[in-house]
Amino acid sequence: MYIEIEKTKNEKRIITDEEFCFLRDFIYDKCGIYFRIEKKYLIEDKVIERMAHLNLRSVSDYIYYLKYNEKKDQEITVLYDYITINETSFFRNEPQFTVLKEEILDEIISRGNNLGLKYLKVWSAGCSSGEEPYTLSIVLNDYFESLKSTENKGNNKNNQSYNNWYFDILATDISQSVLNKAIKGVYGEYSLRTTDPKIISRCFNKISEKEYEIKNQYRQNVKFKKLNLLDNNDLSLLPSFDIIFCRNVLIYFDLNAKKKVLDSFYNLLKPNGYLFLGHSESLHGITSAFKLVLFQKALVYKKEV
Amino acid sequence: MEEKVQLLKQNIFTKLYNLKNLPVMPGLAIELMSYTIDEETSIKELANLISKDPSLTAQILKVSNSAFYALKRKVGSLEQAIILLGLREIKNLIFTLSIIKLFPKKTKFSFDKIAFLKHSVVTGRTAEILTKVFKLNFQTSPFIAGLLHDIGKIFLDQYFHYEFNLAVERAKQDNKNLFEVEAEELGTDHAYIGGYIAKSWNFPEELIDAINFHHCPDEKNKNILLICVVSIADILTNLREEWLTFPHSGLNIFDLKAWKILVENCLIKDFDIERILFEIDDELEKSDEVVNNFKNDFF
Repeated sequence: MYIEIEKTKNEKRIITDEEFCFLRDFIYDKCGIYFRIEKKYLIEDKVIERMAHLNLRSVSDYIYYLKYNEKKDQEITVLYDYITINETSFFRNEPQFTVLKEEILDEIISRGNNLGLKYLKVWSAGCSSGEEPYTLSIVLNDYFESLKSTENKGNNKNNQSYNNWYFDILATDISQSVLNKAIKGVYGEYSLRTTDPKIISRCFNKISEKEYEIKNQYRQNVKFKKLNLLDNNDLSLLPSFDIIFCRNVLIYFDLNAKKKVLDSFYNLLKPNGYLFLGHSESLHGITSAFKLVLFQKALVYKKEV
Repeated sequence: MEEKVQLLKQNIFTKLYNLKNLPVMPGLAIELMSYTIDEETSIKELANLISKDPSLTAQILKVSNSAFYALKRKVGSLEQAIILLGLREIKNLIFTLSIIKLFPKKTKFSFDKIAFLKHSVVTGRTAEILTKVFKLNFQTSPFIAGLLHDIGKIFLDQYFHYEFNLAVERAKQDNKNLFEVEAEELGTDHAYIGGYIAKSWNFPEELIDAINFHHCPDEKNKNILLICVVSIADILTNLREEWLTFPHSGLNIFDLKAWKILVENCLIKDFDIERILFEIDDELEKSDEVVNNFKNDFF
């Protein structure tokens, strides 16, 4: 018995591709997030750690535990916290922002022009330390600036009018401490690792060796607010939105909570408004209210009416 | 049709109908076309056949041992490779390695060979995924159909380099499908040409049609199901790749004619589209690794 344990300690345990697929499928079915093969290394170490902690000898035992053990919900939460490393950064998953500025905004703006309603409302739900809403602010500011200048030069493409348009971004999170950090607007190099250096120099002030502060021009359209996505009172105070970003937040909710939040999103979206989730997230099996629209390297959900 | 285009179209067909100008698919691949999974094929026989091409053999062994297949055991011989990968996958691999040989060595190939190969391989994989999702059964390997769908572009780039690339540029600028612009500028298109090339290799009709009609599926065609699979696989793969293909951006897959045809022909009601796209991402990742690791061997 003693010898067996020793032997197990010395062997470097890795997860086979097959075991990874089992685990990946379980997580996908359970919470709608798909782990790509490139992320296998991320999961590997943590799963082995948990297995050792729980005294489980095989990955299939671990999956069994996740499915049937009375403490499964706790374990799933622990697993998530381990494997969903804090991925937030400016311009995280850039294709989504590219699609926003090159396709979706045009559609919404032209509709607004036709209806005579020149107000764009965006919600960053689960904004964490602010990278996402400030990124949206940069994207939207740039979009309107460039179109206004084109129009003023007399190149009125598509007969659209971009002057007199307003936009605001509501950024909410359940944690006040994280919101405080967002309001401060100061970031380190890690948060800017996925950002074009030209944008960094244009939109941030370097306030110290390694710290950057978002410029005021990009703060003024962003409003931070504490909000619990499951609290009906909180939600009842909200207006309607053209676009909702809710990336890598829903994965932490159980199925019923997910459905509830998505229901709220649907009701709070204007007709033909768009919902952006995390790039590996899926609504399949959770709700079919939204239409799935495929853009270049981005899946977006639409409240098609 | 404009006179200039008529003339160009004639030139293209003259060139195309001259067998000498057509790319040559390695004999082994052609022979393998008729090896089916049901036939009792001696593994030793197959290994002997393949080993007549030492460089192909070496490539097979190398790729078998790579992360592309992530096999549990090391592959030391062709027979082992055949046993571990299975006949179908060995065929797929041989076709993949053969398509590389279709690139002309002498002329400058204007578009990115690596990107072309990746797109072809992943379209093949996606065709396999779709075949499984719709629970279909084809005589031809859907992977091979997806792999070869764009071979017409190789011919056009080699012999009508200037005109073909003009069409490619215009398609990008005008936000149109290449297929449409080719018809306007060349009087024909890469799909028709690819189908003709497949015919010159005596490939099965199902495969010829899948290549020929992948941009214009017609339900009257008896091979419509494979055509639709390749058509959709091409579109979905494009949507997950790096470069922009504007004509399809903003797509609701259920609006695609090819998708509607497939749905009508099966009993499945629910589709996990998101999952299909994520799996395509995985295939892109895998093929990236293999192609980048082997580009010196391949090109």
